Amino acid sequence: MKRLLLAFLLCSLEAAASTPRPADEGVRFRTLDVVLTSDAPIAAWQVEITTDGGDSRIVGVEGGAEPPFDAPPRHDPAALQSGRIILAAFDTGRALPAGKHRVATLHLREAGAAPRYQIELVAAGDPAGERVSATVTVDPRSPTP
Amino acid sequence: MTDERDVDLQRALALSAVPVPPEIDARILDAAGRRRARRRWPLAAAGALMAAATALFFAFRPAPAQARDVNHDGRVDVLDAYRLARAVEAGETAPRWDLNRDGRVDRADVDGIMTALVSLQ
Repeated sequence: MKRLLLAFLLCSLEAAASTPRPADEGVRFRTLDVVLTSDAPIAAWQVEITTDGGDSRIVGVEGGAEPPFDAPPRHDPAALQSGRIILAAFDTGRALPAGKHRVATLHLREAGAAPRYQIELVAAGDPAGERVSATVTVDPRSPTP
Repeated sequence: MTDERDVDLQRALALSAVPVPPEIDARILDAAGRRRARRRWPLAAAGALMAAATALFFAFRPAPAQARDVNHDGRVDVLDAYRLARAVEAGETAPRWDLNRDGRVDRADVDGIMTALVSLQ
């Protein structure tokens, strides 16, 4: 009888844990690649990303695809769980060659309507520390439920 | 009515016009001085505390944005941190770059710029 009661209790607990809570409904996760394109080598860069509309929160920051920007860029930890973030990184020893590079990846938690992402290049510099012209884009990957 | 009061006052003054020995006079003045001094020290302590707080504020206040504009282009961004990092690596230690006012120009000053420019505050 005790075993039967215990089995029933365990089944109830598992069922309760697997039932989606109302607050989790419609929640999905998205990965956003930050891509920098320039005709000059890049030794320093800074961008600002904001989300507009929907319920979107930044939950993680990852580095880029290749050195020297493969470590997570500098950001304010307070930006996590918010919809705005400033990313910045530099390396005095190496630079990214001219071209198109993924310099960072953001992980976001979305809920409700699909938010829009805006990105602004604050600064990009070459190995001499001179400001260079560059474009920055966000490349959203398909969300995962 | 007024005349009667004046007369009373004159009488009282006449009675109190007993000569006070100089040593008692000196003691009274001394006690009054001590009382005044006791009243003054909290004011002096408050003044010293305010002076110390002001000195601390100026010694450790965050570097103004103007100081962080290392490359003098009118804005503070990652290029200022980059320029300062290269200067630190080259051993250049201009006192104006001691942004955290710890008496040294080093990586901590570069970190200070980076922290400030990504801050959402």
